[in-house]
Amino acid sequence: MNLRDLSIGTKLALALTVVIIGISSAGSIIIFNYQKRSLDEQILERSRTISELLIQIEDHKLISRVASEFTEVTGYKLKQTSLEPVNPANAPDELEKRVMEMFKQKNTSEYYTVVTAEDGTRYFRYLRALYTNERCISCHPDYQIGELRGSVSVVAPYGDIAMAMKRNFFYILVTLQLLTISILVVVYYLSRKIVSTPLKELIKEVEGSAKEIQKGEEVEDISVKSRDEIGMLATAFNNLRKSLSESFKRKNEAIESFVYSISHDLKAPLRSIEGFSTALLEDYGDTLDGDAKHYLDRIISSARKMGVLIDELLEYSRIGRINLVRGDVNVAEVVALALEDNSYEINKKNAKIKIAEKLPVIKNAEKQRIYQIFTNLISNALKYNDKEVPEIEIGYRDEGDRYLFYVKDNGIGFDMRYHDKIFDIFQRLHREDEYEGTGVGLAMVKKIVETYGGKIWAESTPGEGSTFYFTLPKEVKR
Amino acid sequence: MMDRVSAIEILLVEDSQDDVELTLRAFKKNNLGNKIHVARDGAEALEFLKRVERGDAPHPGLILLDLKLPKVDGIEVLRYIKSREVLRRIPVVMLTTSKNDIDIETCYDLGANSYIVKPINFKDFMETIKNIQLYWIVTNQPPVVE
Repeated sequence: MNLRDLSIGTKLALALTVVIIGISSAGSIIIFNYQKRSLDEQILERSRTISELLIQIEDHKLISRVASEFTEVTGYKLKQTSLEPVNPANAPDELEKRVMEMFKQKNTSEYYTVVTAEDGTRYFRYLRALYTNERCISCHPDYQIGELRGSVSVVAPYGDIAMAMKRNFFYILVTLQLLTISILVVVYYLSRKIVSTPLKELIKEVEGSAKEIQKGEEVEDISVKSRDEIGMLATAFNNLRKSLSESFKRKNEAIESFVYSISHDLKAPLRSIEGFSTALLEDYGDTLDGDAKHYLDRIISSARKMGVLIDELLEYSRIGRINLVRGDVNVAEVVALALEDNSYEINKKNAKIKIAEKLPVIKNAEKQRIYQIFTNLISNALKYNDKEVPEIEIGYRDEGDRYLFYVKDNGIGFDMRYHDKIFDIFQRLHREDEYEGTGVGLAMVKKIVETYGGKIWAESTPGEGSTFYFTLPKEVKR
Repeated sequence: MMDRVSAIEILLVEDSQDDVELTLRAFKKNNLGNKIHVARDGAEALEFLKRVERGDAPHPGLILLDLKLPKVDGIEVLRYIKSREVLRRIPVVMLTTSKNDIDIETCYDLGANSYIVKPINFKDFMETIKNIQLYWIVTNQPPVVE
């Protein structure tokens, strides 16, 4: 497992563990050394005092007695030693011999060290040089003043104290580790509370809006709950989404204006096709036979159909791109207009139309677009209907800040499997000789509804009829 | 009166072969009998107009001028016409696909007499040509050629 894959809380806890263990170890060592030094100084001071006292006693025998008494009471061993001992008990050991040689050569009169005996016990050794003075001369007239006579040697127990110190050191360590663990627990908990949880919430929101974007829905900004880095991240995400959607919009607009100019350019040669075919038919119709005339008719009608298709494509590309006059649009008025424009079919098919009373008003909308929605849906309801008496019902429901409209018919319906397909441009479910059409109508309706921030869908049972639902805001934004 | 009308000669400046033929047919259909000179680009138009100035070519009573032309732009041709003593009174009808506001303003500023956007549908196109013919040849009183 890679260290980078750990959660932020774990990473923080790990980093803190390393830092705290480092600091506590360093701290322990410093404290330990400080304590040790002060302990050494204590023993040294004591050894010095004892040696000083011992030197004051002039009687050798008394010295020996005091020394042995002293040892019994304090555990400090005291001894006089000489390089040329008169008393064999005063013979120096290895260390004493070495130190006294050193005293002889150098100008020092004091030496101490910690030694470890063969059985592992540790001792503090202190040696103090003894020089011949006036008092010595009185008993030993062959001595010379200032001559090194020997030394006072102190052997102090050291092991016990060291053990105690080790115990201390252990306690310090344990305390520090406990402190470390409790800090870690607090940090881990805090990091969850102030980092992990808000981050996870943010991630959830971002994923949610990513799904909405994928579905092509209008996405609201992610809530910015704080001004810290997480809040900044949320803001950054919102900005990213905005600039992405703007660049997408720009690209879309570029495509649509491309479609517009292409459609426009396609119409010029189309005018020539229709024009010259018409000219041929009009000017030379007398000399052409039936088939030739029929072919010319097909060319002209195809050219016209292509003209209609291009016109619809042009109109489709204008939705949302070209802003028409905006204002309050009375749906009742628009529906009446759409019915009037479909009146030929209505009368021909003897259709029954039922309209809800008091259709609402949409604010800040383009009348032409609302009209296009209804005229397309009504025309479809009439076209895809083979009933003796086609029935069309138009109604709505108030849904707070929007209206839900529906156009219901008793027509041929469609298989719900094709639900999404019927709203795609140039998608048709029927052969052209069955039902005329270009496949732009519903796509156009969908585009208008969605430009206005609404949704469109349909329910249908083949043979029984379809109901087209769409929502429009009570007041169109922008 | 018909004599005055049919005596008017027209200069059509248009680069599209199709549009030339469709325009000619529309004129012919209405049977007014005007003679139409065709220039297929700006340079050809200027050449014709210079011959008119020299008296080597008949003086046109109406000029139909496209904007987007090869070699010399329609705007330049218009500027030339309106700057010449002999030519400046000839009515110039701009007949173009451009709906651009700047184009429209420039043409009127230079003294164009009319600005018409070519309809994209065949039927409307025929109708427009007929209207131009009726208005500029029959209804409109042209300046007297000295």
